[in-house]
This record gives sequence, structure tokens and C-alpha cells, in this order.
Amino acid sequence: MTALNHFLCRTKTAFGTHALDHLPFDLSGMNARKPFVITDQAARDAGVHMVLARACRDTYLAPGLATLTDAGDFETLYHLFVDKGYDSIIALGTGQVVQTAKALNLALCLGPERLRSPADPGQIKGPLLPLVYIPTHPESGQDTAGETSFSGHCFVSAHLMPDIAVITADTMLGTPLAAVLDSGLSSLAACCEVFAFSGNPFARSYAYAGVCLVMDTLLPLAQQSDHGDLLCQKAGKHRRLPLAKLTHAAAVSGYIQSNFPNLKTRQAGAHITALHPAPSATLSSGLCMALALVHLLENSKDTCPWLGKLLLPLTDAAHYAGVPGPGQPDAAVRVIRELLQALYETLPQGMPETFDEAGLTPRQISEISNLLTYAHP
Amino acid sequence: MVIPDYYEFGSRTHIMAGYDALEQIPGLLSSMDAQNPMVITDQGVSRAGLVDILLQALDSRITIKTIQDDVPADSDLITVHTLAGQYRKYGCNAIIALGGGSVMDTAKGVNILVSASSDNLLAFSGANALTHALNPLVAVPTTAGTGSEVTRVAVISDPDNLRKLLFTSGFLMPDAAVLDPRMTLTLPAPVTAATAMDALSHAVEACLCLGRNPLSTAHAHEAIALISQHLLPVILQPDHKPGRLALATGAALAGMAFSNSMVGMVHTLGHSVGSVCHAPHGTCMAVLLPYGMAYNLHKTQPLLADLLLPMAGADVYARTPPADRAQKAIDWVNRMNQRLHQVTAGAHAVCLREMKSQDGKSLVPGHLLPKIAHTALGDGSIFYNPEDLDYDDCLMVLEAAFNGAPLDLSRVKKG
Ligand SMILES: [Fe+2]
Repeated sequence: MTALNHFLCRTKTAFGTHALDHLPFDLSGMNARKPFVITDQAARDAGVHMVLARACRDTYLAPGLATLTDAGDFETLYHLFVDKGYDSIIALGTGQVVQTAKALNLALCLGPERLRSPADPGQIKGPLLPLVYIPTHPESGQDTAGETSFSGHCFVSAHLMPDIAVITADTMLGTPLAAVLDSGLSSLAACCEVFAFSGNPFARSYAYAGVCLVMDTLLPLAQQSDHGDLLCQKAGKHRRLPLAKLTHAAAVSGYIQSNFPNLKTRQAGAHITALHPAPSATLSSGLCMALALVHLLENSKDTCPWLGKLLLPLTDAAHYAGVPGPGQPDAAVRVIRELLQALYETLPQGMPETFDEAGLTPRQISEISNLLTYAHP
Repeated sequence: MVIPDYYEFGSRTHIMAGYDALEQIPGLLSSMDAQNPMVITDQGVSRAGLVDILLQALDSRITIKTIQDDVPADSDLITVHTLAGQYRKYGCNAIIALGGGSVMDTAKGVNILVSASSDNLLAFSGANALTHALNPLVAVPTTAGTGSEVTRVAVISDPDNLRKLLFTSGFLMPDAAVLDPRMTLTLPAPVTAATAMDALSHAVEACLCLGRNPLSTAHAHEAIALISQHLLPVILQPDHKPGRLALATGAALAGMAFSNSMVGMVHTLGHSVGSVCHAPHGTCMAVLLPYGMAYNLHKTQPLLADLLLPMAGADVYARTPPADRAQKAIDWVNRMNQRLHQVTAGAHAVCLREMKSQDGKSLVPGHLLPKIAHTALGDGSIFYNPEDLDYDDCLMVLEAAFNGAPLDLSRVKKG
């Protein structure tokens, strides 16, 4: 273990079938009776808000519902919340819905003027209003991380993490394969990087579970994808549970990213995305992070003390223990490469397997390579 | 990975674990706008010089309003009310709880009263009676066992009515847990052994019991690996800081695991041995742990087999035929108890019959086993045990654990 390990995850994860049925109880435990539900058109069209409404029926809860349509909604949401006397926020959706919900929470607790300038993170002392996150898609971890961006400003504080993440197959929407891959690979990269490079046992425990969840679900989901999955349709029953598990992995990667804001794979992913201002579906930030992960692990095979152990969540106890210690780092990297290879094969248009194939120039690759080294403990 | 139909996992305590973790406290308190803490501790901790170490680490960066070191071994209502009065008298706005389970429980109780501006702790007993965040509470454990620095539970006795009050709420989780090896360097070997085995039992039961889930199991496996690797070395070299830090970390991880999964029959029986005989909880856990594992063997074989890896390491796991791994994990715990018995010159008991008070009296007399078995049936943790337990089964396990005899698995009624 390193000299100081700290870890903070403010979010309770509630996962599984009928997880929403527990929500009224949880909200009452936070003294919340009048939650303001923010959702988006896709969730609304698929009727997911009705699943939530059913869970609130015959309880003391009196929720209100607003559907996000464009950025100009924010003032309306703010005034609606204040005028109607809501006491908590439920973000029913993914991405923009959650970023808006977090920003709204900041505006409500610290005053709307605070959103106009980037805040010193130390100044958000919280606690903010109860925030419940009910995702409808797997995403990149930003939803559960203690951060939000609003009007070009980024706000960072652990108080921005949702109080509860309710992750259930009941609210999962059909998701395009590209988005599934983006989420799964970005969760995998974040969790693998922390598991392989951090001696922090609290973070490693979450990372372990995150890696297992991705390994269980990502490839099967990709293999059964029929490319016809439309964003606004309710996902088929057989796909909803693995989508929920992948969303669970994304939530975990968000908890981790909150505690490790400078992940190399994330930095490299952002760098590559910036080089390609309009990333195509085949070069998502998740894929960039996965390519960066392989590069990072290859660079550190001989020096990183925990890399071999990564084979455990990537496979299972029998496989891990069956590979002699010195061979484990190579075996771990091989498993990730094989996963990527198998994923490429599910895509008719293929995907770049290296930075080179991704269209990066040798100079760009060397820049990224410099990002992808660790000062070892 | 097997995922249950529904589960929850949450642990919102900010963890600070390290060689200079105590020095982080002023920063933690200021991030919560709490500059006027009260220190709650007990005389043992105070005599061991731990309060001095804490004060030195805090330097002058924070003003301690008052230090209260009168917490009894079993936290009770009177102490909680008295300390709440002191908190108000000195104008405190936060608590630093420095001690073991009783100090943590007392501090949680005091925090309920002062945060809710109430004089009636009874009004908050039971499950989820709290609906608002409490004032800042920083937990600094001085044993590596109970995990109370991260749990949502407090047990406070009500001696007038001969009962123990249970408080559970997410709001009872301390805001921060500060794990610093300086706080456990001087723990005597038998206490180190018993408390670590308590933590190990939390982790093992978190993996086996019916409330298990992927996140609690991940935390528990990490805890088991840390405790398994470091317990014996620390007993042999008590001032080994990395080992002490690893045990403290293992205990906190195990606490996070079991408070999100519950425990099983090891605690069911251990609680009742404790309440009937006033026997120390950690030693009861150490003795009963291999029996609880063996009793549930037929229902939890693959889960037990998985435990062998963090317990004994990859080589042993790989060398052991898959069908033998579960039994090997049970044997490993038995052997750990025997090694602890040896290296503590017999102070670490390996059966209930051997448990002795400080004046050498037997703590668990054999004639009380039926009463203990009867009491066990009323313990809430019984519902989370993988196999059902009735009075006869409880007694059978207790008798075996009393004599240190192997459990006759053919007598386990399989449900
Ligand atoms: Fe315990």
C-alpha cells in the first residue's frame, strides 16, 4: 500500500429487478417527499417515466416531471422547482439529463449566480439536495462522478455525486452498439487502470467489480446486437439485464474517476478525441481509452506490481491461479487484446486496432505515448 | 459473477488510510466547516498515550474544545446523554471518536442527540428513524476489528431496562474514517489476534451469507487477503507499521462488506455467547468462524472455494484440486487459530472451553450452552445464514466449538 490512500464514494448503488420499488423508502430516509423528475424525450417516448410513476403510486411521494428538450430549459426548470416547492431531484436518464440535474442542484443550493463562474471545488461544502440517478443507458462514468459541466464551466465536488444510483433493467432503453462499446470500453479502461496501478484497496475493490461486470456483459451484448436497436425504443427483454450490468460498471467507473481524476487512459482518450474534432462512431472515446490502456499496460509490464493480478477479474480464480506469476502480466494484456479483437469482429465496418490504424500520425502517437507512462510506486 | 436479483451497496464514509492519516484530520474538518471538535475516547486509549499522539498530529491547526475519556466498555444511555451535554456546553460542532467499538457507538449516539437537538435517544432507535444528515463525525479506530468506523449501526445499552438498543441508518456512517497505524502499534498480541479474526469473520460471512453481492464480495476478498497476509507477521513484530496499516485497512473493508450484505451464524452464535457469558466478541468469532463455514459447506461450496485464493494465495489455490478447495479454506482458518494460539502463548483461545477471563476463570461454562443456543434463535443475523438453524443445530455447533472437536457434518439438517 502507498503512503496515503483515500477514497470517497457518496453514492449508494441499488441494483436489480424492481429496484425502483425501494426508492420511496430511500427518499423518505432523506426526508424527500416531493421529488422533481428530470428526463429526456427518448425516455419519455419509451414510457420509462411510467415505470417510475408506478413505483411512486400509493406512496406519500408527490413527484413532478419535466422533459428536457434543449439547453434553454435550465431557467424554466429552476423556476419550476422553486415555485412548486420540490425538495429533491431525480435524474431519469443519462448524460445531459444528469449534468442538468447536477447543475440545477448547485444552482438551488448555492444560488444560480454560482453557475456563471467556475467554482473552487473546496467551496462546494454541501450537502446539496438529495439527488437520485436512474440511468436509461450505459455511459462513460461522468454521471456518477462528482463533476458536472454547465455553460462551458466544469464544477468538481464529491457532493455532486448522486446519493443513490438506481440501476435496473426496468428502465433500460435500447442502445446502439457503438454507444454500448463506448461505455463498456471506457469502464474497462478506467477500472483496469486503477486495479493495475493503484495500491489503494478501497478503489481496487470497486475496480475489481467493474472489470468483472464488463467482462461478463460487453462481448455477449455486442455479439447479439442486430444494429437495428433504436435509441428511443425499449430494449428487448434479453438485452435489458446485460445493459443494466454494463450501466452498473459505468457507475462504478464514475466512482473511481471521482477519486482518480487524472487517469492516464482518460487523459489520453481526451487527447485523441481532441485530435479528431468529429470522432466517428468507430473512434469513440471509450475505444481511445481501451487502445490507451493496452499501450499503458504494455509499457508497464515489467514494472507495475499489480498488473499480473489484473488477470483475476479479467478471467476467474482458476484461470488466474493456473498461470505462473511471471506470465500473468502478459496473460492479462492478452485477454484485453482478445476482447478487443472479438469486439472488432462484431462490427461490419471494423474498428481501428491501433493508434496507427486510428489515423494518428507518428508524432501524435509519440505524444500520447508520453502521456501513457506511470511513475511507479 | 453471480448477481442477485436485487442488492444495495453504499459506504459514504471518506476513508483516509496511511502513515500520517491523523495529520489529515484538520483538513477534513475544515472541508466540513467544523473547526470545534470534541474528542470522545476511553481511559484505556488515553492511558496508552493515543490521545497525545492525536493531539500532536493535529498540532495547533485545530482547537479541540473538550476531551471526554470516560466511555465505558459497554456504551450506555447515561454516557451518551452526559456527553451530549458536554458537547453543547463547550459549543462543539463536530466529534472525533478515538477508540474501539464502544467509543464509536457512543459517539454515534451523542451525534444523534446533538444533531437533532434532542434529549431523547430512544426516539431514534430502530431502523431508519433518522431523516437528516448528522453533524460531522470523524472516526479514528484504535483496534482493527469491528469496522464501526464505516458501519451504519450503533448499539447502546439501556441498563435500567436490561436491554440493548440498536440504531441503524445510513446517516450513522461516520463522515470520515482515519486509519493510522500509530493507533494500533501497542495493541497486545491477543487483542490484535481476536480483533483481526473478528474482521476476518465479517469478510467471510459477507461472502457466504444470503445478502452477499458482487460489491460486498469484492471488498471482502480484498479484506481477507490483507488480514491473511499480515496477521501473523504483525503478531510476531507488533510495531510493523505497514502490517498494522494493512490490518486496519482490512478491518474497514470488511466493515464496508458486511454492512452491505449482513452476516450469518458465526455472528448469530457469537452474539449470544457474548451476551450470555460476557465473553469478548473477537475471540468468540475466531473460535466459531471455522464451524460456521463447515456448517454451511454443502450450501456454499463454490463460495468457500473462492475464499482459498485470498486466504492462502494463488500457489496453494492452484495446487489444491477444485473439489477440495472449500474444505481447505476451512482448514486454513483452523490452522490460523492454532498458529495464533501458539504465538500468543495460549492466550488466543481455539475453543470456547479455553476462553478465560483476566483472573483465569472460565468465561463460557459448559452448562450455559443450552441457554446460549436458545438466545441465538432471537438474533437477527440468523435469517441471513445460508442454511437454516434450529435449536438443536445451534447446540450441536456450540458443543463442538466448546470442545474444539470437528463438526459432525452428517448431523447438519440440510434444508
Ligand atoms: Fe463482529
